[in-house]
Amino acid sequence: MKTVTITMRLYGAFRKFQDTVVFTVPAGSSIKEIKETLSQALGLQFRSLVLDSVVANDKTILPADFVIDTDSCLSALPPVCGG
Amino acid sequence: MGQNGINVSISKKSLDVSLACDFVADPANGAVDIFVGVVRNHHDGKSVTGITYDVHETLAENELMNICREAEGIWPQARYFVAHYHGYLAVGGISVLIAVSSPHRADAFEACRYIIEEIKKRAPVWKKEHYVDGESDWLPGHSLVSEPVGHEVCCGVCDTHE
Repeated sequence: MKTVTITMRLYGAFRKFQDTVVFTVPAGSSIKEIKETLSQALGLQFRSLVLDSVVANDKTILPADFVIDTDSCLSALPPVCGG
Repeated sequence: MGQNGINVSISKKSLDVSLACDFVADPANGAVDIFVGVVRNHHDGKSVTGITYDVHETLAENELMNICREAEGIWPQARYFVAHYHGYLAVGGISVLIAVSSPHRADAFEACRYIIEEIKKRAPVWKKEHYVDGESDWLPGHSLVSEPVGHEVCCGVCDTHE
């Protein structure tokens, strides 16, 4: 089974863990599946934050059914509070 | 990042009100409304010494531009300047600066209010408050939403959607 490497940059409260986490997923995984793997990588304490977060590339927020086929650098964006 | 009548930025340097006023100045516009967000010294009963602003700079600039374009659709004669700070600010530091000029005051007030309310809901910015006892905490916020199913999504690595 082909796998792809996800380099996930972490923002906001995720930085309690670290700034970046790297993991592999099967090629063709959806963003929803990648969030599940992210949750496992970060541990139980971050699970609800992952569920409340979205995943983006450097252009846009990605929908839950968006499929990742190649090694990718993505960002985990928790709930925002700018201003 | 700018286009005619709109200037948005994320900055690690102090935000300058005079730059904002200069950008929105227009002989056709008789009103300039300015919103300055600053770090206050208290929150939820805790004494605050400062805030660290974490920002996804690329997405934040894009979203600030999107918000201004929306405002421009509603108030087309206005000029817009929006800047958000990235990094640590002590109490009193300017975190966000919005200036809008328009022919008449009502539009400037409304557009300025629209922009700050949308920033709070949509800009990928996060606050970590620092307290006098040495503790710090990330603040809760608004969950972002992804594009609806069926919306064309850029892969993020090509240049076709520039």
